Amino acid sequence: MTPDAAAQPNAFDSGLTIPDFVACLSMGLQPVGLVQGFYCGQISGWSSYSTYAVTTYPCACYEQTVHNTGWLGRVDALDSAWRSAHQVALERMLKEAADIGAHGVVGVTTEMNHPTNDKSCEVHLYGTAVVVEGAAAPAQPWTTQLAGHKLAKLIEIGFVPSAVAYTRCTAVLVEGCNMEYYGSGRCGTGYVIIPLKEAHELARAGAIDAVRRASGDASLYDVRLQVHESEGSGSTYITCSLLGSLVRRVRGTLPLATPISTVSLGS
Amino acid sequence: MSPDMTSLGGTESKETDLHQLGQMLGIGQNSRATGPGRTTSDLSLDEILLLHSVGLEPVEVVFGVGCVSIMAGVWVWSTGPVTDAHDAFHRALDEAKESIRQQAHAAKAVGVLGVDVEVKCSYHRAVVVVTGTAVRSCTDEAGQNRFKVSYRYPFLCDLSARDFAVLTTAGWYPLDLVAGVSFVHAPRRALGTAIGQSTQNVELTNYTETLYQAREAAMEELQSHISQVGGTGLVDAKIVDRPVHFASHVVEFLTYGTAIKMLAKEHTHPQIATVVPLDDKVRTFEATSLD
Repeated sequence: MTPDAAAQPNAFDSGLTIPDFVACLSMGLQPVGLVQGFYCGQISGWSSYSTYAVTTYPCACYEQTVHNTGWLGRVDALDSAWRSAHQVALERMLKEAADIGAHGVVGVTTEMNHPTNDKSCEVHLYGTAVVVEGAAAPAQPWTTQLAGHKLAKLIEIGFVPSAVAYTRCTAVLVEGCNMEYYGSGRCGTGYVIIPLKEAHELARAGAIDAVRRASGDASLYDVRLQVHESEGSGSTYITCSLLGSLVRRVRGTLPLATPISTVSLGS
Repeated sequence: MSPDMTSLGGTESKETDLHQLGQMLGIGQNSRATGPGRTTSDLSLDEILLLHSVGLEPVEVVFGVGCVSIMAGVWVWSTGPVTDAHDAFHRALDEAKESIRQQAHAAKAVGVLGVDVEVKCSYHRAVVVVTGTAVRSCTDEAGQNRFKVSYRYPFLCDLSARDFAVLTTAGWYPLDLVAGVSFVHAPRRALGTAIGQSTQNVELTNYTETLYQAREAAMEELQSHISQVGGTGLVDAKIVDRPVHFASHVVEFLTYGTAIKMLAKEHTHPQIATVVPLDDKVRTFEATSLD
């Protein structure tokens, strides 16, 4: 039980906006507490270097002497640090929710920061734990970024929320010899730069594939896809992260009412 | 009243029974999943609802990447268009579009909606990344596609689901993402002119004229590409004109948007209701007024 609820047994706290709060009550979702999960950790100094090559690119320049080839790899240790940080924070939030008898957590917000420097990570998840009137408690509380009318619409089109999900994939492109950046080895315009193209593809496909593997029979909706690219010391890092709500279809799709176009005269 | 898992939705539904939906949530959490699942979508829930209303549903987040080299030396001082950069951009865009189309085709999608276009041009390369959600037709109870238009290749458009729904309701359909781009060197002023004008507020006519030149070339190219894909127009054009930060005296003019065509017999004006919102901003008490 949260400290606030312990002090006042009948009181609840919630992070719901007023419209969401009213809609949740109408749906029979009783808020029981604002639950949170934190994780602060250190990212190993070796994480950026603990890469493994996926593809190597032979040098294609005209020099006859042997010199370094370029290669494309994954930075799994860095990605797993953030993924496990999110997972631990989520489990801690779920435990808080289960401890107060909640069936699920709505309106989950995810904040991710570097609290000190880029070798530290902080994940903070919070949302409003709810009990569904008249329903049996699920084996584990479900979670969703949605609340209120948005949650109602999700159910109306045949889905129920399962969990919030986060994944990421970092690709690193290590430059061996400048010439391989030109793909074909010829210096000119119009050659596809295969290593860089594949680095972009690896980061995005890696993150999307990770979601597919983790989602099982669920779908990931409302995805926020972010890509960050940085360069330094002859290396290019491309990170793709996905944050969304896993949902399960529990009945078929039914045609919805035709939407009505409106023009608002309000300011 | 016990919740009926099939009683909601449909064109006849007038008002959502929130309590019934809440009960369905409780039941659904303890029932097995149905349907294919494994869908990934970066569309918001509102957009997915709108898509359902026009007979489409999301399938998968798809993307395409194009990275093409630019020969060293093309950015150094010269005059006129930088054709190498122009060619590299279009090759990169074509690569990216081909790649995203292949992914959409593999997902058996009818097209890709909400395409986000990211363009990066550096000294040695042009990079174009396109990301969007592939969509497919929903089927009705008889197993027929609810989205009646068929495409030879998946369409690409950077429109939101809302804009797509309004556009198709009016009888118009998207075809492809098209772009026009131009990189042009601005001629330098004569040294004497530059010194003479250094203490004056004057128009830099060399830059103004270069911007006009870049704009004309890019817009003409855009028009040409709209015709090439069979479109009769373009909507929601995005315009980016900016100096090239790594090449002094070069300006870039980029414009892109969705080529469209009317497939209905005539344009249909959607019925639009006027709404006057009554939820004015809440007045809050300002403590500083006590000072």
